[in-house]
Amino acid sequence: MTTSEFNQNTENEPLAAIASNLQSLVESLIELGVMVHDFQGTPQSHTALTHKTNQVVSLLSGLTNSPFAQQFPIPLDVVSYIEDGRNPDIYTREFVEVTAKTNARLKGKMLAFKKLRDVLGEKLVDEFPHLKPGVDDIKRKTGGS
Amino acid sequence: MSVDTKSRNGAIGVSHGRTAPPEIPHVTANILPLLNILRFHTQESYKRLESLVEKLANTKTTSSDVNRKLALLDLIVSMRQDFVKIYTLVKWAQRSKDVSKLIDLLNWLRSQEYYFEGLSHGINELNHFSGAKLPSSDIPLALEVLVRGRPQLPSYNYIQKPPISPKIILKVLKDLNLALTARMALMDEIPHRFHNNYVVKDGRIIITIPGEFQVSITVANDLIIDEPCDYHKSPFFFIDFAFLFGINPETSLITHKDSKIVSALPKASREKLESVANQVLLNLSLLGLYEVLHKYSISFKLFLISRQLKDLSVNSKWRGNFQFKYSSSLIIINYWNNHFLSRSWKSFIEIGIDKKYNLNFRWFKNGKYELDHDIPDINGNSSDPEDAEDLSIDSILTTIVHKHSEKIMNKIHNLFNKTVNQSAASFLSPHQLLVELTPRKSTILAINPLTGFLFFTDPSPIESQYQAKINSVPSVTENKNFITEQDMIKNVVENLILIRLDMSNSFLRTKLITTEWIPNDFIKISENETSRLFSFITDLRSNPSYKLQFYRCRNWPSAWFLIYMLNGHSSKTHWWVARTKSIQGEWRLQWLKMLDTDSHSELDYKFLNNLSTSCSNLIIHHLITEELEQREVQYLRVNNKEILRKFNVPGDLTPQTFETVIALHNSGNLLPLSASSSTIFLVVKLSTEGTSTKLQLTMYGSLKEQKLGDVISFAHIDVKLHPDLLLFELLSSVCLNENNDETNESTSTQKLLTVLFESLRRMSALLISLEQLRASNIEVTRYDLSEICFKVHSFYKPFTLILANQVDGRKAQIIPDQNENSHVKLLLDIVNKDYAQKSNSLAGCFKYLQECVSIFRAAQSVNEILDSNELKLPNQLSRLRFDFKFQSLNKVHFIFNINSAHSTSPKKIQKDRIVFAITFARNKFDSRQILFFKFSMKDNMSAENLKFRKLFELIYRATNELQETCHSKKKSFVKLNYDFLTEGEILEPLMKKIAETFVSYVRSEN
Repeated sequence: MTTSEFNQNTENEPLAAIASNLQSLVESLIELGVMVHDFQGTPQSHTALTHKTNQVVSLLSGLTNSPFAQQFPIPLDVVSYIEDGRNPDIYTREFVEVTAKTNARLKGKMLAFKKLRDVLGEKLVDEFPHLKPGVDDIKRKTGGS
Repeated sequence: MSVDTKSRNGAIGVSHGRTAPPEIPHVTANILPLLNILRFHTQESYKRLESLVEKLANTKTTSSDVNRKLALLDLIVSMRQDFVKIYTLVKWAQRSKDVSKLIDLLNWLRSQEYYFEGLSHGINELNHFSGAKLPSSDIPLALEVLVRGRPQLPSYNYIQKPPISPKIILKVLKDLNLALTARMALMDEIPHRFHNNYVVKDGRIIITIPGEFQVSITVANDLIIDEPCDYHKSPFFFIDFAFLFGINPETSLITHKDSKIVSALPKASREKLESVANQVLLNLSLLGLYEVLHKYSISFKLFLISRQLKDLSVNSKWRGNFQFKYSSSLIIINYWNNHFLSRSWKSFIEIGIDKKYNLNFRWFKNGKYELDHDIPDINGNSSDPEDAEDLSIDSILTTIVHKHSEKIMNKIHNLFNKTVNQSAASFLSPHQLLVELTPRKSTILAINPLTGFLFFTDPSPIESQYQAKINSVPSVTENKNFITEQDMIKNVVENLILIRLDMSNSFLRTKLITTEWIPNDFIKISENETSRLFSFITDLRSNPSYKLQFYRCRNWPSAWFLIYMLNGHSSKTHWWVARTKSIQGEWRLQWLKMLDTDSHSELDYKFLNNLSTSCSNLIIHHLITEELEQREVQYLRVNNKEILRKFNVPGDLTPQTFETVIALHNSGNLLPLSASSSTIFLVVKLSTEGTSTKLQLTMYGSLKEQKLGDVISFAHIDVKLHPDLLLFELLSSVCLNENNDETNESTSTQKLLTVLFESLRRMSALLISLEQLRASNIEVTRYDLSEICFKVHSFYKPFTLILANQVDGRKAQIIPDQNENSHVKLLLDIVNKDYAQKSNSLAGCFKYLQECVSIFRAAQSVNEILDSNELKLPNQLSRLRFDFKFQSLNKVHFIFNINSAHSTSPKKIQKDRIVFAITFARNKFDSRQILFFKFSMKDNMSAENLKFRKLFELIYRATNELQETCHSKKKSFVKLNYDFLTEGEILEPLMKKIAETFVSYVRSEN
């Protein structure tokens, strides 16, 4: 899954708005650059430039108070990924992979300890039958059957 | 472990009636909201844009348009790039919620993982509970232990073995028996004492060494080993062991009897022995086993012996009489440990293992091992164990100690009999010796085998005194490091001899005291003097055991003693009579005479009684002979009565009267031979009257008949005459008791004969004097034993000859009459002096006195002439005086003193003297052999007398006249240069002439 396109759901609506704003801003900036580059010193160009500049400023202003932007948490690692020019999706993928691995390992451990618990409990009860209630209680508490 | 069921957010969702899993905790760290990023970037961009615009506005003039454009463009480009990134971020943000969930999930998983880690650590920690203790046994466990023996937990998987059937056991045992028999048969090296001493049964070899031990061994499998190098494959194993001896409970001795007494080992010892025996069996096989067990059993025996010894040393007769040292292989017993001979391990018994590894003993005494004894072995290995006696250390000790005692007593017996030269000691029993002390008394010397000390049975005080000496270290060997038995025996024998001496001595002493002898124990004489005693005895010289005793009779002079010597070896006695003297604290024997006692071997009363008589006789005899020798009288002891009878001496020589007769040889020194014979008898008689002892001395001598008359005249004094027998008898009696107190013995000894000899001497002197007087035709007017009166010349008045008397020290001298001329008295003084020196010159004296008459007469004439011609000086002093003087017997001075008034000073008186010396002289040319006078004027030949030349001329003239007259009268008057030689008769006329000359000279001087 890539992030090239926005999913059309409600959650992403503010994001899409911000994205379009940003598109406009970038375009405006390109236009502004062209205007500056081609600036002749004529009053028209001056007015056009001023107009364009104000447009940029108003765009900036619109972005600053983007609504609902609050609810999107951005890990700093992602910021530094983008800063470095790397694809943040790689971060996402790696993160998912690490989580999955950890999850699997943890599950193994859980199973192993469960077995250990059962064996140890069984042996203890075998050797010391009077410990059975305690062992059962522990089993019950730790989710054993 | 329980999971916190509470959600951090506090939202508890309940669905399907059961609690939902808890909310995953939300992670906010390192997460920013998107808005913050947007806001930051837009505002930043705005700020940059604003400031650049202001800056560009201000730099309108200072910067070129291009540069300003460039600056603005740079900003726009960078802004664009930033916002492109923002755009990317925004696009990513559509997944941000999922990612955030993942972050939470991962975080949660990590925390769970951490918990698991802790859990495994915790489990691992259980391994470190090494110090953990089980709780105290609870009652069920205790019961289980009690009932079942041990906790039989079901998890032990214990499989119960089925019991072994007797069949199998029997089979194995049989196999083992077979294997063992084969092995024993195939074995090369079996200790020789194992041969025939083993039995194979019950799967074991039972080896029995009689008297020592029984051991069982076996093997662990049925391999048959026939090569010694393979032995280690199946070594023997030790099974059981027991000693075949032990303490006999009845006698508490060590017994071997038929292995009845078997000492099993206590468990600890058995386990130790098992390990040792197995070790030895593995390495050294049976040889080693035998060696170990043999040593073990011997050591055990030694231990049992040491226990016996310990018992003995505490509660038996041996207590305090021995000491012992015990080590694992040796016991040393020092018996007689209070006796110097054996003290500090000098005599001991070693009980140990001999070269054959048997229990044996060695006996050490007198500095070496005593191997040659016939005491039976003690090892108990006799051929028949039934006969083996119980091993009793008591009996061993007793045997050896008795043997030692016996040997010592034997040696004492031998040495004593050898030393004493008779069978004075004989055995009553091996430990008792009957010793003869005196012929009638004997004692029993015995040895105490317990202590080694010798003792006398029923000892007298003397014996007990010596008993201590006998049992102490001999003094001569005190410096030696080691006292041999020989030294000790020598000491014993010496002391025995001393006892004999003491006993004989006290026996004799009693006898002597009862016969009135007085012992004197103060006198000790030195070696030197003792050797003088020995010189009388030939067989005693090398023998130091003797006893000297001094006795004296009550009536004996002091310093006289009877000495007797007891010979310790032969019991003989030797008797001496001696006079002793203490010189510088040391007693010397001045005189010694041995008594002949050979005939009196038996010291009975008769002998002792006679002893005093014969001793007294000896003393008296000696005193007298000594005195005779001092007086230089030759003498001979007369033993034959016939001689006395021949000489008509009335003495009898029976010994009971204690008479001694001595014949004195008279060579004229005692009595003139002209008056008596050459032999005078001295009869000495000792008589006791009451308490006083008197010595009667009688002297008998024959007299010539013609002299009888002379002697008769003094017979009334103290000389007894037997005119009919022609014998005289002088009597003297000395009371010996008076001399007892005299300390100065020289007087006391001389006193015996002094009176007698004085009488004899006076008799002799009288006889001689009478004879001489008669021979020179001198008239004897009166005589007795002390003086003789006689007339020498008509000129003299009678003289008296006083005879010398030694009793009062008076010397012989001639005494003039009281009214005699003083010149004669003076002359006699000189004569007496001469007479005293030459005792036999009495005749000469008379002759001399006769000759001197001429001198006296001449002097008388001169004096008469001078008296008739009185010449005086104005001061009434005689002008001429005459005197004469006897300078010596042979020199008379006639002195004329001429006094004249001095020519210049009349008051002063000149004194001159002219001396004529007259000496007796002989004229060789004269044939008549008469004595001349030599008249000498030489003394006047001095310068002073020159003035008297005239006088001398006158004298010469006068002499010439005299010479002529002499010639005519045929008298010799020889004129020499200044001297004249005249006959005695001429002296008077000569002196008359001279005197007249002087008178006329003096007159002419006036």
